[in-house]
Amino acid sequence: MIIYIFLIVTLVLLLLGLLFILYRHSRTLHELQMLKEQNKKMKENSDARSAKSLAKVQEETEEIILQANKKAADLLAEAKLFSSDERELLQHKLSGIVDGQVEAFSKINELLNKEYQAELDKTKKEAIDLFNNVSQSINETANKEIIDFKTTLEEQTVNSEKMVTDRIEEAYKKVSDEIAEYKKNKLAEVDQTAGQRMHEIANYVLGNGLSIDQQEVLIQSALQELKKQSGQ
Amino acid sequence: MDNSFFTSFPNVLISTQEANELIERIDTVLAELYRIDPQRMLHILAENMHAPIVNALEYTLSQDTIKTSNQQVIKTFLQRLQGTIRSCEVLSMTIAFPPTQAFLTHIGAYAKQLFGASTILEITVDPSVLACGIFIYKGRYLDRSVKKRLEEYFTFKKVSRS
Repeated sequence: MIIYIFLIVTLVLLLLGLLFILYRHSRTLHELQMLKEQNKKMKENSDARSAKSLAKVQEETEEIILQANKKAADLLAEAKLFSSDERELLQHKLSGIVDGQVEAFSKINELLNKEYQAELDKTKKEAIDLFNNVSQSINETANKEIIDFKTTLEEQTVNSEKMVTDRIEEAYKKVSDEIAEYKKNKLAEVDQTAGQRMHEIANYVLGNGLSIDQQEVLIQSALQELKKQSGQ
Repeated sequence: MDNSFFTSFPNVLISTQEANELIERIDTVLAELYRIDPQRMLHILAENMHAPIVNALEYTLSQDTIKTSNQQVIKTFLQRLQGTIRSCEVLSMTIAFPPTQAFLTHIGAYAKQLFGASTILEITVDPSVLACGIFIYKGRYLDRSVKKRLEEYFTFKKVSRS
């Protein structure tokens, strides 16, 4: 009976442990899902920022082109007023301005690309760090809780074993005491019965078996012993 | 009065029962002394006593010294006889069977031989002692009964078993 109780307690504890592990697993999956969503949002934000930067670049470029076109139109308008030499000179100046604007645009584009790439790398690194930190935190928490659960389970198991051992020892001691008491009572009963029987047998044998003369011999022997004791 | 009578009289006494009965009879005689003749006095003292006592008393009371003496001499004789009886040493014996007269005579003589002529037996019958007996003499106690041997045997068995 006590062994069955011990087995049932152990099974219940194992079932509780399994449920706890399932619960932790579900919670970890949920957190992982949340992290994925967070990462996705961060990526979307990053893309939005990139798109914004590109739009800004495009806008600035368009502005530059518009200014360049405007300046070119002004130059063309002025060109009509100058000679062919002057027109060549103007053409040369205009080419120089366009080349300079293209170069400036390239520099701006390169700079913005670098900034975008740096921003993207930074965001990516932050996301990875955050993910690593969260993952490590979850791992540590889960490990700690599993260790706690393991310790608790071990303690419960040890306590259950000790309880069962104590109860078995208690039951054994009780039974031993009862057996000892029973044995003592039985022996006393046997002693009393045997004593009575021996007394009856001795009485019967000696009472009927010893003659007066034999009794007299025994008594004389005892009187001699008494005389030796009294020192007469 | 001859001293040898008083010296030798305890030899004929065996038991305290006899001694006590004789003392009581002497008291009776002393109470009735003024009207008792020696023959009647002998009858009172010796009736149902065993032969040696009867013979000793018969012999003494038949002597002229008693027959012709006055009451005061007889009174002195009887009182001295009581004193002699009372001074006897008592050997107490508890035995398993009622003693016969022959047994008393044998054991009485044996006790007198061992402890002295003035030794008389005080017999108690207790069948539970089974055989032999319990003896007390001058404060010495000796239990040689089979009952005690059996008790010691079973006590030893109990102790050795526990």
